Amino acid sequence: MKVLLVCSSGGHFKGLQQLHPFWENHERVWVSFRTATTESALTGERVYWAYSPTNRHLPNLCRNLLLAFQVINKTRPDLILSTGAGVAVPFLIIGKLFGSQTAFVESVTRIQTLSLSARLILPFLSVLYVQWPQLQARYPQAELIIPQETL
Amino acid sequence: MILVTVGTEQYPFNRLMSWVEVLLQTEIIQEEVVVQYGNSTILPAGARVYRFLKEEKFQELINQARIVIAHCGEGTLLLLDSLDKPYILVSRSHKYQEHVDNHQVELGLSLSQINVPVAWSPGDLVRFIHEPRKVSVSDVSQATAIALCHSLQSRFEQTATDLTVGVSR
Repeated sequence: MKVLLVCSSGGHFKGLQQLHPFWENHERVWVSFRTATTESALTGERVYWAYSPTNRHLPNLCRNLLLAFQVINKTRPDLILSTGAGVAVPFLIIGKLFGSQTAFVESVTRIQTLSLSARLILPFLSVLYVQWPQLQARYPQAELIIPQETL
Repeated sequence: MILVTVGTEQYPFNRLMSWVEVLLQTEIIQEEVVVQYGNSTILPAGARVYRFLKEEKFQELINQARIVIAHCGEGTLLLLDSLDKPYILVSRSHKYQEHVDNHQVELGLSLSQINVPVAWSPGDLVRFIHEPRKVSVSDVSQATAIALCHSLQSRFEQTATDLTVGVSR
């Protein structure tokens, strides 16, 4: 399975890195923002650098939309997985339209309300994961991740 | 030394900067203070300030610090929680235009409930500075990552196999 991993830098990147037991078994392509941290962590990985900032930033949304189209058209991923935030929006929408499965993990920092990114892409998601019961109660279509004991 | 960090968020966090400045001016804090202020526009007088820090330098400062005061962001939380250093979080509030919305306040409230130190006022900071404590949430987030990986595997690897034999779910 070919997986496209999309996230911004900082906490969202850390969150996606923590899911390595899943993605390390698959052929993968990354999309993130170029920072000292992401650059060193993604050495040897196939990476496309997206445009930041994305918070309410229209020109960069257009740039990332174009990038999303190019990357998805070229790589044709089976699954697009994101831990947020804004940069995920164009990739998940275009990916869904191109026939990819789409998964979005809402940040652990979201307790009562979904992020704007999650609300925008909700109709285009195969699955939305949330980490708090209060949030799942408000969005019953979301899947609640219940922490498990280490196996 | 006390390290104050507000991450790389595009919004200022001037409220925290002012709190730190007041504690320095009133000499409630008498040790060295290093501040990574990001996009804040007020800088606490009397502190050593950096706008952004390279990962290495940041790690070095955390190691040197006695305690860390940080904004309530996910990345910062995950990082601090993986270290053996007392930290206290201060939530960015939507009301003061410190973030796009109020999720840091919501997170702060939830973390308070599991005893993670969160400061809602300069007084909370003062108490923590004099009596730091360390409470971990990392076991939870590690366990969450494992649960997520399981779910992703069963959901998508199964689906991918099904699709190859022409069965749709």
